[in-house]
Amino acid sequence: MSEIARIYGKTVTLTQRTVRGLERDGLIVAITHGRTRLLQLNPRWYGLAALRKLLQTMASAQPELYAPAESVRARPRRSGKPM
Amino acid sequence: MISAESTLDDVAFAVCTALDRARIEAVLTGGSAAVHYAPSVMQSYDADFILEFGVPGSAVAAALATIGFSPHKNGFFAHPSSRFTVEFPAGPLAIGSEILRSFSTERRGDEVLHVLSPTDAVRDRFMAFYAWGDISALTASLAVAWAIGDAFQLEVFERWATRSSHEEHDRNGYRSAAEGLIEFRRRLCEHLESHKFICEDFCEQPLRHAVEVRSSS
Repeated sequence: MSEIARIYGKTVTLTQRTVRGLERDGLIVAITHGRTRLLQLNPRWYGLAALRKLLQTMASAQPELYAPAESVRARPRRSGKPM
Repeated sequence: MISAESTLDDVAFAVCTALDRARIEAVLTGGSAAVHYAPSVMQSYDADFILEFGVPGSAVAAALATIGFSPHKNGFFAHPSSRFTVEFPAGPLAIGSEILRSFSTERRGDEVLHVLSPTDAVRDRFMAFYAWGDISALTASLAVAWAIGDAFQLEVFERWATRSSHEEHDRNGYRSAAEGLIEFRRRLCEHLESHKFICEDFCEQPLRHAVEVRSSS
């Protein structure tokens, strides 16, 4: 959640509230791994294809979001290694 | 009357009946619909109902209060005597991108239950397996297919699963429905064998053939 908040420059509380609403409406789902919640579009939601298209259109209009999204580290880090 | 001994199906009938009396249409879906057709399947401790569009939450709460269910802060309804909860996921009634226009209605005494049709219950659980790679959902899908016997149209199911696969798999990288179908057939074969209804080359035959074998044994 904090990663998403950082990308969008919003508070974690606001992000949590937004995510909760999207989950309630069935647009996204969360899978918990330890203390991390992995969010994804709900593959079972009836409007998935249209939503994906809309999001792609919106993303292409907001290139300023690319840099913070791409800066999120996805590769592994050995434990004990300094940040 | 809901008690500690009430099954998930008992709860589903009671809830649907209470809503029906308040003129609210709700259709049982998800794992609880699978349990309705194949009671041995353990898919869930909650009854998931899709409500018709535009029903106010207060009307639902009032209807459920008549049978002892009260709303919980996390969005579900709980009963003091039952471990089963009731939830109302966002609608519409759909399997993937396909919006369902029809469902089954069953009666038990003076109770009524609107529920996914048998084949849609198989598809719904298969879709859960397809989307999440959840093996228990595949098991439930198979169990329902087996329980409903002749009512399950394997060829229709396979056409749908293959079409879904083409639509979603390459783009989304989800588990291929075609791979799932192979697993579906393999397990159905295992099930038949474990019940001594061995049918050579069953994996190439429609389910109807297996049912005939079962009936003649």
